[in-house]
Amino acid sequence: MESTPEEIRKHVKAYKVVGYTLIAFTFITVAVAKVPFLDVGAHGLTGGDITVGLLIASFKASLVALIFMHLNAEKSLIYKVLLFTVFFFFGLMFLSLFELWNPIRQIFLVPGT
Amino acid sequence: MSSSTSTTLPDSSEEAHAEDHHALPFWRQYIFSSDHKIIGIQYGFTALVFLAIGFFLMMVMRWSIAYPTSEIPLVGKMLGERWAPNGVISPDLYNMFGAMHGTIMVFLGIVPLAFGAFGNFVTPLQIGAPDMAFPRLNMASYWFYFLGGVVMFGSFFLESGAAKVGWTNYSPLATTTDTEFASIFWTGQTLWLLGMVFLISSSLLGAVNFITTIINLRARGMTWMRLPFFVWAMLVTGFLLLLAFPPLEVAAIMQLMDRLAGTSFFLPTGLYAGGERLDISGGGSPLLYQHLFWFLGHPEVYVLILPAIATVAEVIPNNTRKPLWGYKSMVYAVMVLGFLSFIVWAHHMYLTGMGTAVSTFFQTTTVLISIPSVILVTSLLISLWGGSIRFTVPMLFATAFLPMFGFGGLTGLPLAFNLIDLHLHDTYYVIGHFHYVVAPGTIFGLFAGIYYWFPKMTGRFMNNFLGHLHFWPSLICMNGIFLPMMIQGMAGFHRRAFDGGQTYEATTERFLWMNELTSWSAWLLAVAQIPFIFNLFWSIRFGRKANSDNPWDATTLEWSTPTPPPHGNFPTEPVIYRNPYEYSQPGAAKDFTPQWIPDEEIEKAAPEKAKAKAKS
Amino acid sequence: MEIPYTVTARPDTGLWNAKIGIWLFLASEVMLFGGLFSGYVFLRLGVTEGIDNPWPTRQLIVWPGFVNTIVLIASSVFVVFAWAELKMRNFARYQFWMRLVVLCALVFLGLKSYEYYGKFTHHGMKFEDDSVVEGVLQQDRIEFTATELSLSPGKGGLEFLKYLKDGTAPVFKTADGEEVRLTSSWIKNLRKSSGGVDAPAAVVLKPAAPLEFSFNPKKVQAYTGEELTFRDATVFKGALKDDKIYFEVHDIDLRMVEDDAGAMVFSYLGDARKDAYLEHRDAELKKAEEDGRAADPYDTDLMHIHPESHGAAHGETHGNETGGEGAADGHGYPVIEVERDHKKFLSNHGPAYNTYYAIYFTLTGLHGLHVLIGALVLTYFLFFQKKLYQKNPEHLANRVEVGGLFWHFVDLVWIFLFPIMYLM
Repeated sequence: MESTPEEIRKHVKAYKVVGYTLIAFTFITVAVAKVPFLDVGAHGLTGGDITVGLLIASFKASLVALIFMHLNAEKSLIYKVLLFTVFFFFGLMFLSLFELWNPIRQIFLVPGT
Repeated sequence: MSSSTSTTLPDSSEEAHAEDHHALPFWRQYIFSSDHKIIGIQYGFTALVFLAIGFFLMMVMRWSIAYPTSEIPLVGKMLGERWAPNGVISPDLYNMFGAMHGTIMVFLGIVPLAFGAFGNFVTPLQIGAPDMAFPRLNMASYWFYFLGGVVMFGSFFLESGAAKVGWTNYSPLATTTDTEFASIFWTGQTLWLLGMVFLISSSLLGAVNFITTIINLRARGMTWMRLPFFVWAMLVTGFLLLLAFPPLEVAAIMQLMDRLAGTSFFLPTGLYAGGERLDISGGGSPLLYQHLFWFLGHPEVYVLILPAIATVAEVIPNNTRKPLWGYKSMVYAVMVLGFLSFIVWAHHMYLTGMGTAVSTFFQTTTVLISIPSVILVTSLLISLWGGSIRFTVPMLFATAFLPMFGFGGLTGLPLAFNLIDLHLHDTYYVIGHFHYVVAPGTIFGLFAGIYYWFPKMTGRFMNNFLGHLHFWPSLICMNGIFLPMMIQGMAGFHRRAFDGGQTYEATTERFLWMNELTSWSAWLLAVAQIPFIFNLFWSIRFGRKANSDNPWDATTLEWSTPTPPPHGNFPTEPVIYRNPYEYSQPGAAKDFTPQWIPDEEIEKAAPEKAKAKAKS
Repeated sequence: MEIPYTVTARPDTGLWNAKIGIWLFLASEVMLFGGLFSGYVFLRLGVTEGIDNPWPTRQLIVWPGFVNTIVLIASSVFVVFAWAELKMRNFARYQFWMRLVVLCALVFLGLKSYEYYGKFTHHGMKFEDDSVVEGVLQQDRIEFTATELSLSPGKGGLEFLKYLKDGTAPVFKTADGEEVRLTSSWIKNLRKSSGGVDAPAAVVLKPAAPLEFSFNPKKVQAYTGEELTFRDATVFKGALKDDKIYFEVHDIDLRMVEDDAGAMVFSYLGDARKDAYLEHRDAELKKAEEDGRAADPYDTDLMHIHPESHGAAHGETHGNETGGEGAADGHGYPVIEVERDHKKFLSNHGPAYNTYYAIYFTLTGLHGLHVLIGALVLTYFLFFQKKLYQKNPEHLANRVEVGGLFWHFVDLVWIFLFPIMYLM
């Protein structure tokens, strides 16, 4: 980060804008889930709710990470660390879910048992 | 101080340095110390004590296996009527000692010794740092570890005894055990989890500290490819701890909730225990615990082994007097190893019935991970080729490490395959396999490290004869313990039978005699450690004096400091001029060219002159 | 000795120590919360239909979570303002923003406690046939009148004192008519005189006046109509007065029941309420279908049973006098008296209630702990670092940046937590 007072003053404006955006999207995410005519689908993991909800959350999270946590201009070393972390997080999440998807069981399972 | 004094650099820390020498009170200097060397030694001694405790538990278990119905001599009455009626070990006690043997050896013994002790003592010295990046955090991580150790050890003395469902602490058994006591909190199972939370916090703080230190406190000229291999291993180990431990912390917290708050994270619907339907909501998954546990569990294997490999990688070039073969490929291999170790965990879970697709995936990655492992071992093996080997005691342990670790690694390959694993899972084969990796593997590597760095810590060598007396019996006994296990395992001996398989005599008969062989080897191994323990303490005061700061004629930076290294390590800021293992360089007068000596001084250095300098 | 690069960045990495440290720490935090999030997904996707409890959706009141989201976002903005003011060497304004941050943290924790309180004071009960009622538990106790105590001296035996209705120590009479007040020293003496831990025979005592017990049945080992056995092996003889569960019903959940009309819950609520409930539910389902909305039979509106005042508005009459055995003090909701044998599982809406609440409390509890620790650290920076500022303002700015990074991370976790816990 540059740290001359002028630069920082500029950043402060950006922080304000980001703050308002985050609050706006909080309203949107609640509206999408709660207001009937905006409701995109059944609640739970099957409907559109989860997609939209997580998309909005990811967008908000990346705003926080990029602007507030200065990840938009960080040193490469930190990117590397975070890249590995995110990779392993997804590894943990999806590899452990892997067992729920079992093509061979689907083929051989006798229906109704 | 050796020749690096000639490189005068602007050193602003001189004054601060002098200030620090105003004697700190005893408890600040030796007990609540923030100096990485003291902390390293604290870690080392605590870990050795825990290794001894873990060893003792194992010896008791071995009695139960070899002579399940007879009274155990010496300790029988001390164990108490409740756990050992008439001095005969009860199955419950066997289970308890089995669980705690694993826990203590892994989390309280080897990791603290390898990562905490050697890592702390050696890493800052090798990279030319005055201390760790966060000295007070370093102290905190030792004391978290200590607290975890106290909690774990204290649980033996509770009414319920310590944890007894295996070192993996699988739910639902771990959740439903010991629930009959008035206070579920004060039971071994709960304290195990609490102890783990402390140990994990300790490791996390340690990992943050190590990685930061290695990244940011390298001395001038210490580029990435000039780091000793030990430091690389510490860096990778740090990342393994940092990213793999939190899921286990999650598992521990969830299991604590299951025990204390009545949740059902790992308890399926309609679970019965002891013939009664449990008063729980259900809906949880035992498999989730195993996923979270092994997500740490497998990287943990590399946490155990990498410091040992790295220690051996320090000892071997020093004693073959030639550079480490394939330094770069080893560095890349260790990085790939670290990366892959995160995506192989479920090969510990083939037997859970988690499905063929997922098994196939993990089988593939598991086989892949043997490639970097083989690169590491092969490089070390090739490093021996053509060297004029000095068989010092550390070198003895290092050379023994190679075939032992190799054997441990190769016997792991069958376990990687889904189908074969179904037969071998939970047999003594598995025990034999991983003990070959960690006992004659890791522990030999760590012994090599103790003998190797002892002169830097104390200024004296450990006794050579006692070292031999320690090494040879240990080598023989280790194989006497673990080789029979491989055979028994293939014959189907189950690893958790407290009577060593006598219940199933009809099928196990042919190999039952091996139980006694193994047990006697184990007890003899204990005898073989006596010379070591004696040597360790005796040599602090009476060992042969090291004639210089660099008694092994080594090249890495830790040998440039005064002995023992003072607070702040380096009298002047060190500068690094070359790669870590420059032994027997063509044209150099001596067969080692340390990292810290500038080029122009090498050329000039006549043998007599250098000796005079070293003495001054 | 001085550790290099504590304040200034190392030229080749471009980073100072604490910055690397905090990012590494945050990486491990990602794995920590990541582990919990993957646990959430694993458990939720792993629900087996017909066996496990259906995963509850939208069980939380949205507005506190919503307000908390805004509060955390605002505090994130404030903390970055505070850091910027420090960078511009403006200590007073730094303190102003930092105060707001700490205030936000307090508001967050306060709201969270309010939510927790609400959950802990609501209950759910599953009947043996898997029909579920939710509402408020009014009584879950054993009332027992004891006339004789047989005391097992080997094991102690004063646990029962905790469960007496009036707290005074009772007076007993031995077989010889001697009056005793039970104390631990009296029992110790008894143990000594009767042969230690292995004392075979229990001592029989009669209370001067019948003892009234009232306590949660989980506390005892066993009880029957005439006998009450505590965990320390003291046995009381007497008469069981009441062991029914009194439950104020707000909602009914029949998803796990095959035969809706024959559900066990209706044997308590009575036919009138059954018909009203089923009719109301079917009407709502139909309406949803007509509206083209995705039919959501699990919406709390459908599960809800209407209290008296609302019942009239729906044009239905299901008064208490026709509504089974309900008592009238349930704020208009029916109160049922359930036989203990008919209960399968009973809990408040705490972590034990189901895996959803388990993960909700674990995740938010751990998150709340992070908020608390972060707030404490920032408070420390706010009030106790003026000296450091005067000596080396950049050092304080670095510290605040590190603390701020942690704070943003806590906010970031909440940004994911809010939709998956409150909205999905």
